[in-house]
Amino acid sequence: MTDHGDSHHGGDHGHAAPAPPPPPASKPGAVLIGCLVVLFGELIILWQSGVFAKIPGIQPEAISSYAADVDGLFYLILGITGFFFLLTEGLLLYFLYRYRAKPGEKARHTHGNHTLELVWTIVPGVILFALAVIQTGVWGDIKFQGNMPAEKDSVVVQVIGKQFEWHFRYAGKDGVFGTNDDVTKLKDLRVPLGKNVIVKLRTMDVLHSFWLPNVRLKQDLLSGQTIRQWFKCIKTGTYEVVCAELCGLNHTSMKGALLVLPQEEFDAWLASRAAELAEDGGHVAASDPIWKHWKD
Amino acid sequence: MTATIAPHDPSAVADATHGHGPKGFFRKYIFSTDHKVIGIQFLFSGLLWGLVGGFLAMLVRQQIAWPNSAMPVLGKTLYGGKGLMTTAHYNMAFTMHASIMIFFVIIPTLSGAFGNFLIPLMIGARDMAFPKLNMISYWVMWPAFGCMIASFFVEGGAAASGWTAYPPLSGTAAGMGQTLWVLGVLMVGWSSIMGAVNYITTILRLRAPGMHMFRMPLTVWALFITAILQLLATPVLGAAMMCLFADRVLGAAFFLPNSVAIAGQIVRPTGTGQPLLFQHLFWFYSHPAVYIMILPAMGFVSDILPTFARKPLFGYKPMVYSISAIAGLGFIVWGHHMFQSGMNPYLGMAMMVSTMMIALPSAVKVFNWLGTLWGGQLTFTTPMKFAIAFVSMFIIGGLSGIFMAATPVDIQIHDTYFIVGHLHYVLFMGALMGIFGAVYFWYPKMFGRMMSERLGRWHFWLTFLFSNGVFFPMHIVGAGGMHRRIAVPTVYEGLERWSTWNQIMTVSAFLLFLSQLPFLWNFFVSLKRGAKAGNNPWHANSLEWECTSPPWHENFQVIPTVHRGPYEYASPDVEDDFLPQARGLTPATKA
Repeated sequence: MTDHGDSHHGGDHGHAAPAPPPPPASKPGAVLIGCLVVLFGELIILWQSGVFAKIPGIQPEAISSYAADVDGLFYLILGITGFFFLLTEGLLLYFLYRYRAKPGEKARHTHGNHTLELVWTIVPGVILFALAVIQTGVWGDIKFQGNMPAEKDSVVVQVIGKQFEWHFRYAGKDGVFGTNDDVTKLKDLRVPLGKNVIVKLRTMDVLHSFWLPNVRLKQDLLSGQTIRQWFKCIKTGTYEVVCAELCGLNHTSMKGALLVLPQEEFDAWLASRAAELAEDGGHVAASDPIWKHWKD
Repeated sequence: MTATIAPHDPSAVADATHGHGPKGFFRKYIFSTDHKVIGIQFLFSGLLWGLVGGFLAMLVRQQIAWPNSAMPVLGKTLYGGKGLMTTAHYNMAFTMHASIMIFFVIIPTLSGAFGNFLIPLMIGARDMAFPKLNMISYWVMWPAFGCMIASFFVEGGAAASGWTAYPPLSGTAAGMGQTLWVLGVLMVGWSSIMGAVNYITTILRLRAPGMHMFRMPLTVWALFITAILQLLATPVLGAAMMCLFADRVLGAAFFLPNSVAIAGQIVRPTGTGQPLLFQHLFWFYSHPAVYIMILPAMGFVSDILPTFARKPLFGYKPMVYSISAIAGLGFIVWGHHMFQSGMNPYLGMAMMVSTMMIALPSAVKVFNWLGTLWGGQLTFTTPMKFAIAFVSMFIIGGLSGIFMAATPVDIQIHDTYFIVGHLHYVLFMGALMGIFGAVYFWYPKMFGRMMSERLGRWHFWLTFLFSNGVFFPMHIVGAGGMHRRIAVPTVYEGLERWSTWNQIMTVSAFLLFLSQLPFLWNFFVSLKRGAKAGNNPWHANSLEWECTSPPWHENFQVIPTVHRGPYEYASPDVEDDFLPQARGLTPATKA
């Protein structure tokens, strides 16, 4: 209990102005642990049932297959941190009121309490570790290369970020990139509804970050590398493509659009865009000033 | 450096020259080797730069709330033309705001000002172990100041690639501004390293008799651990800056691969550099730097709370261990800044676990501060108000960090206003609240006079109110999809719903800036007009309160002998509610 001073003799002394003896530490400690276990258990059950994801949020509308999982984790953490926020701030306010100085009284002379220290080290430790472990599933689903859908069953889009534009390229009819029937588009990324999309991200210059706020996907573009990511949209509509990494003077205007279309509309657009490019003299992969820089 | 590192002879009485110190204005106040003068020099520079950094924040906020509207009065002088802020100005303003606040205000004020002033006084030493090195550590700041000021006036303007200065953007940015920035940061690093060597040596070698390591006040512990962090981490920042300098000036390619084309031109056709390397080096310093910016404030708070609760610090040793744990874990969490950078996602997962674990010692500290208040006799002086605000606001800053640590959640909130809110809860509501508390608390010792409680009250409540008004809504707009470092949020349709919030934050920011006026007035007027402070106005226990206020040249007339820890408040052994570390108890003096 008193493990550092050597001028005093034991922890909680009584003295002239008798302070109430401190309650035995083990009891409130046990109660606290009990409460926390129950609370944590309940939060996990609620999270598993997907209730959190349904809270009408401040977040941008969720349109991808994994957005609900990400939001669920957000609200799970909000629940846990919210509880500790209320607990600690509540105690703080109560102590400020309860222990304001009264004339002639002395404070309680105590240097600490081993049981309490153990409780408030182990309990948050367990919660934090569990919280970290819980995140790994969703993280792996979104980011691990091994978990990504196969390219042959997906729409593959090459993305080039360039100060201050987004460029997108589809393989075209032959299914091979770098040929003259590739379909390219500036600014707008069109994807079919309900189908896995693989984006391959590359920058021509500085770092950018490919962010689809409604999809809950963000990935920096790293100079010299091509990075693969995936998503699947479950709702049609027009959303924003954002550059989230400072990329220079007009970083703010490095903005694109994500258009989620039903499969037929997507196919029709792809065909018409290909025709449009052909009319303009055709896309010549080898001489394209942007796409000749592509490396897989 | 020929400093004498010898144990003090407690019986040695300062001889005649000790009491007076060097004669002459320049030796005494400008090129001083006295740790107290150097500390005060750091404090004044910190205040001055704080105003510059704060002003830049106002420019940033004005632009976010009312994009593309001319700034009244100052606009034409600042920006020329019609007084409109361009995106170039905007990028410079937020880059320099952060760089100045971090490298010229928070770190030099915490370690430079309070580290210098307090360490020898609190451990019972006459000065630092290396007084001349100490002087150099302050004066090397001036070329750094020069670089930063000059950079605003060179062609192309100041650095504009964010305080993180990620290459290739920073490596290829035109103009002298970014180069001057690199040099400035490099020199601040030298200052940090020199200071750290000094603090570590002083604390290990120059403690008064009886001052065991576990009798040191938490402030000294925090500054000690901070110095270790600075010593081990800052050289890595130095390496990153040297490489960046070489990339910019010498045509090297440490961070530039051969694929970087700016305006169609390949910058380094034979480059084999790796931009991710810079991020690793940068954050290997800059994450520990977060703790360099918060641990000393935690130390101050751990000394202020017991003093005004009139109660021993709850869990002294757990507090020391948790500071050490934060520092140790602080070296293996840097990857959490890079979850979305293209770093291997498996490494991200490991960094998430270590990051979650570092929340633990922070939580332990909060619980122990609450334990300190429990059963106390609290008086709400201005330093106490700031210390309590530190605890309550650090809770928010700590908890919001857990969102960022969770890798899947971070996918969405990385590089949004959520992180801007989080970091300001730690650095403004944490570090700066700690600094304010420390200024009010140790001002009587520094200048021999008290600051006004009335003005302190105004300063505290206005600062507390408006800082929450600026920084809390940032979490909401950040989770709502507003990314950081954009000059015109209304470009994005999804962000229009946050316009009102942005204006509320900006008005709060202006008022927050104005709320510092009572502080400045209080600080400078009290130098002459404040009530005379005795040696120990707060009835505190640690050794600095044994000295006169202000302490004379070599601090102590007789080096005190330490009999106990620094937190013996409400001791049953004496009648008084405090029992100074240096007071010897005989059976007769015991109550």
